[in-house]
Amino acid sequence: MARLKPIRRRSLRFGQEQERIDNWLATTRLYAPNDYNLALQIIECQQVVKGYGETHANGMKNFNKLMGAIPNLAQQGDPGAQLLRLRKAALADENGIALDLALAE
Amino acid sequence: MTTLSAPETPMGTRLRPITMAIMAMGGEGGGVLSDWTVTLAEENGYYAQSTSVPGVAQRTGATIYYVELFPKESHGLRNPEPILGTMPTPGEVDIVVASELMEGGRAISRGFVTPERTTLISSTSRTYSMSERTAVGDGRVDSQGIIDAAIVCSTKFVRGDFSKIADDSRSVISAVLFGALAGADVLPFSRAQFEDAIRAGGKGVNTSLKAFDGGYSSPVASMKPPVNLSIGMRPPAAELPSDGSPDPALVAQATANPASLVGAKLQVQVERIAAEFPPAARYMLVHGIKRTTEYQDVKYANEYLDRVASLLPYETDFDGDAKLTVEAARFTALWMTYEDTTRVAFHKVRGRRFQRVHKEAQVAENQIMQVHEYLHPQMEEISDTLPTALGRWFLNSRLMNKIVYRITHRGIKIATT
Repeated sequence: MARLKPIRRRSLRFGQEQERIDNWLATTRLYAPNDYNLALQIIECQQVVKGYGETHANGMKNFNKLMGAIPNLAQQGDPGAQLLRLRKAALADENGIALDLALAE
Repeated sequence: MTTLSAPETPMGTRLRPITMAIMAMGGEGGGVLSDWTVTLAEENGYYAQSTSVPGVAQRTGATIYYVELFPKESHGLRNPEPILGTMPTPGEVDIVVASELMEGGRAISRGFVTPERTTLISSTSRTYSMSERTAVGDGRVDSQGIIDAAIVCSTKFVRGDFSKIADDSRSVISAVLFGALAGADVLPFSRAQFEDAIRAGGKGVNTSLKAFDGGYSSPVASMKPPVNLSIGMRPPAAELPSDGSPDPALVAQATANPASLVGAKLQVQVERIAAEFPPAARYMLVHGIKRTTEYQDVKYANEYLDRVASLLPYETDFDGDAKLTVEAARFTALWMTYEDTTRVAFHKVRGRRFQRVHKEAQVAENQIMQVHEYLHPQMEEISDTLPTALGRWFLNSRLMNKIVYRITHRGIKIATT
């Protein structure tokens, strides 16, 4: 399995991850000109995605929720601090219960 | 110094044993430490008894060894043979020895460490517990909090990075702890008597004595000056083991001369880092190109730099902390080196891992080790590694799902040695 490095680039997962990375950085660039702190917080959101298998899938779900919340947050006061609050909630438990509660507020 | 010697307690009326609990994890020689203590006591006019209660595997708990010592004679008269206890009782422990800071903390929370009675000897090194490791965020417990509690809760708190002393002297932590026990001056035995107990054990005597020496001087180091506690405590940075933040010297080197940290293969990339990126981000970027190269190849490292560079126009703090760039450098590298089947396999067949397993299993030169991997792959993990189109078909194919399930649902064992 470790010899698969050469074909990794052509794998299904590789393509998916590269696209996710580019989307995340594009989102960051979208908000960066007006709000440095929000851009920084968008970058920091990556830490909710970790591990592999189910842990990774749950992290990705939480990450997408965070990204989905940004346009709304950007309309309010201090979106960077708000996103930070949501990220802390996402890190509180793997199933995203705390995050859902925070998003519902 | 309050040397505990049962017959001469101020009360003088009731004889009681000296009680000592040792908290150590598997392989750290807690058993050896309690054996040495028993030898030490028995050779020098004491009755001694030791027991142990094992913990469980996977770093969820330590084994607790418990030793009671009782003098054979006091005031020239022979004492009747005592009945000694087999388990530590909260509030009744004179000495607690812990091989790791969290175990010291656990001893405190279990009530074994009491301010009026207990000398706590604990390493400040950490071995992260399962609950700390499996937390989604940073689950690490604040070490300084445990140290503060230990100072308040014990008569005397002897501490040091005993794990490091053990590594430096190529010995195990038990010998260092035995030295710290001697240096703490709480047992009625001399240094020479302690050392004789190690010699009596007969195994690895010289390295053990060296580690013992390292431990012996630590109480002095951690207690000086003994009068003023607030001066006695060293600043946290000096006292605590590395919290994972980088060595400042390396950061300085990366900032001033990044080229010195990588091989010939990555010189072009390093030049680019020095030319284009904020100085504060250089350290992280050097790590990023190394990580992405190891993960895939140099081309991938270039793509990494392109990605981080795409945020440079928005870096408004270029010559300062450059937080946006630093954090983008960190998290882009982490994401680009996501854990996939290939990467996990790479780590499994890495030489370093076999060396570690070898060491942990304590395999001798003339023994053969066999490692069996237990796999339980899921559909996604297989389709992930396949070429895009094939992977997608595979994932959506009911037949393939069925076949994979049949093969893997019970798990597969593979020998990697």
